[in-house]
Amino acid sequence: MTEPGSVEVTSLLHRWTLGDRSALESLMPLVYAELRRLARRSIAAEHPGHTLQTTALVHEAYLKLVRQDRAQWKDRAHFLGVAAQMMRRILIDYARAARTDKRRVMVGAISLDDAHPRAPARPVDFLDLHEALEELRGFDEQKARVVELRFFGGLSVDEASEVLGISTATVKREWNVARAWLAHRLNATDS
Amino acid sequence: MNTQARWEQIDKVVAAALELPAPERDTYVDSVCGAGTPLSTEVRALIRAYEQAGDFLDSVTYRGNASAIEAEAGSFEGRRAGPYRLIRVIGRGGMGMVYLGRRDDEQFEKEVAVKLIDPALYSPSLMRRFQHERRILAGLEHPNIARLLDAGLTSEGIPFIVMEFVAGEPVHEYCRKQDLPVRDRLRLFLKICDAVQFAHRSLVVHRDLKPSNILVTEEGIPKLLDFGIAKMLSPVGTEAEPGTMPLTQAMTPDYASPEQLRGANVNTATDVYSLGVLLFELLAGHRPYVLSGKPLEEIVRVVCEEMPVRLSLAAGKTPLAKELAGDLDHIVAKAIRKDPSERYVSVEHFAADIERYLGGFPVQARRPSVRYTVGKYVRRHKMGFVLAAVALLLGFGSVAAIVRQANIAERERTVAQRRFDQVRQLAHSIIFELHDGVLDTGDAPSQEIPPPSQSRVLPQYQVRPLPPPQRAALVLVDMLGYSVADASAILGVSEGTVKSRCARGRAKLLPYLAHLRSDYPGGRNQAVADGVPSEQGGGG
Repeated sequence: MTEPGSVEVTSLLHRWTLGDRSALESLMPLVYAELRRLARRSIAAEHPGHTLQTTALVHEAYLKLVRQDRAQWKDRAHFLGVAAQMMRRILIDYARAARTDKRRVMVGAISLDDAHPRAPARPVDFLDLHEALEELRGFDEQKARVVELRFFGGLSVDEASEVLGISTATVKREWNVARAWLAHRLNATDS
Repeated sequence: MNTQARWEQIDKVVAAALELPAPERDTYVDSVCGAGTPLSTEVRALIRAYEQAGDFLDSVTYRGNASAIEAEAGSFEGRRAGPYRLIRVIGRGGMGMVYLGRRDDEQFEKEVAVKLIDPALYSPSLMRRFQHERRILAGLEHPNIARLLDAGLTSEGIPFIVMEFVAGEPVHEYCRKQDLPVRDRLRLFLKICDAVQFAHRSLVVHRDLKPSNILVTEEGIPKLLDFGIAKMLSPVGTEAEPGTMPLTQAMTPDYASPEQLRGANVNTATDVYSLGVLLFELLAGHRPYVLSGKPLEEIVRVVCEEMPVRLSLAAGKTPLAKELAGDLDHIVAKAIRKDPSERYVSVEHFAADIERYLGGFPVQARRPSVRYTVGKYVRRHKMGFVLAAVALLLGFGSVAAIVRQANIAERERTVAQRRFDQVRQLAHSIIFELHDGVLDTGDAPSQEIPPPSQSRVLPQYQVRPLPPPQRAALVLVDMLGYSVADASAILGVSEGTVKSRCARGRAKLLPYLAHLRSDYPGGRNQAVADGVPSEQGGGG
């Protein structure tokens, strides 16, 4: 069994960044496999109820798959962008598997990127979040994409702006409004 | 206004409001949307939700254990655990998947079993305990214990245990497929006991004895797997809080003792219990309780409160049931008592009782009774008894004399042999009747005793059976060599009664003795044997 070569991943990223769509198709399975492996390990190693650091996983996958001496910052952003989508898909799989077992994947627990801790949020069922996010995508694709990149991919505002080709100010703005809408939507679902 | 346009409006106001400090947001919204308008209400709701959301969307929390992982059996094939390459899945247990592993360096072409511990069982303190325990377990060298060879973490951070690879099948299946007779099953079980006992002396309790942990090789050698692993993997301080669920996923409630299920202290008595359940299963074909599919509370209740069915009853109405009735019933019942203090104090005692059973000695699991003790003695010395009876009846000092006599002359040999056989047959018959007589005086028999048979005896030696009390007295005093005082204690009658019963019994046997002597001239000159009454002196 061979590990996906880091050279391969790096060059695929390059080609994709340069506009080669087929490179992305080759890239996705590699990223998906690695992420899935990492997620499996991470989910399993944690105590029930622990936080799943999705963003940490995505970054780990990056470190693992990409020859960093050859990769550029843009590659990284793009890689993480792909990884975010994959991560979301993996989590949905887990959440569905878990739901049949009457277990749940929940959203919300620990603040990751905030200097001043916020109040811990009431946990939300992951599949509910997924559905809400799809609903949001229905009328505001960009916001859904920002959430995906930042939440599942752990991309910084700068990275997300690079991947989406929008300004950092817009990313922040979209992120804030999307959070407001999702929080409201999920509150409504809950009650 | 269509929804898309409306959303764009909301989006714009919310985004702008969220740029402002929280206290100023409502004022801003009202100024843009007009106070109390539907738009204002909707925007305010989103802002409230945002403000109350705290760290919403900062991370994902996963609740529950990793079923997604368990579903992926075989996903580690081809990967490595330390120096071992994982070849294929050879089993799965509550603890995780077991792989056939092979060392990468050529010089050790040794196959091993690599157990990947389900990471759901993993806890931060586990590794320390893991290291500590593995040192002890590595020292556990016994021919019937699969050796622990190595342990560590895979590069993915999954704890693994490397054990001697045993090619074999679970002990219950082995017994079933080989159709082993009860006594062979017991002998096999004794080897298992020996291994457990050995570990106990090294202060290692198995805690999870069950058929799938006991493999029997083609050569019929049982090998115990996973010694001490259950303890290694149990969370620290499990043995607390009675009534909670202390069972790790690693454990099978089917073989778990009441104290284990209650979360009380687990010690060697726990292994005695599990061995008892195992023996029950090996002999009867199924376990004493039906637990599968029951919720845990129900399992705990059944195991802790319900009386197990008797082994021989569990075997159904089969010839097997007859073999299991009695001693084995008692032995198994003693091993699976609910109160650990009522069980065998050690696996050694358990095994010793089985050996007693196999040797025909009285087992300790049974309350001693005359019927039982004497019955055991008679059965154990069946042949000796026959010969002793011959000697007694003929007045010979020893059986050897008969054999010598039978060998005097070539010419006489055939005749002598035939006569000896006849005498033996008679003695046999008498002994059995005597034996049964003893049985009658004991506690109520648990099974029907076959009536004494006359058919075994040649017509000329037909003996009218003695009344049971006389037979009992004669067997105890003349055959077993009990003193009259002891016999009186055993039978619960006065010494005088014992004496008179013996006397009357002997008197009735005299004619037969006379008959035998005349029939067997070699005995004529022999002195009257000890214990043969004096009133017989002039007979013959």
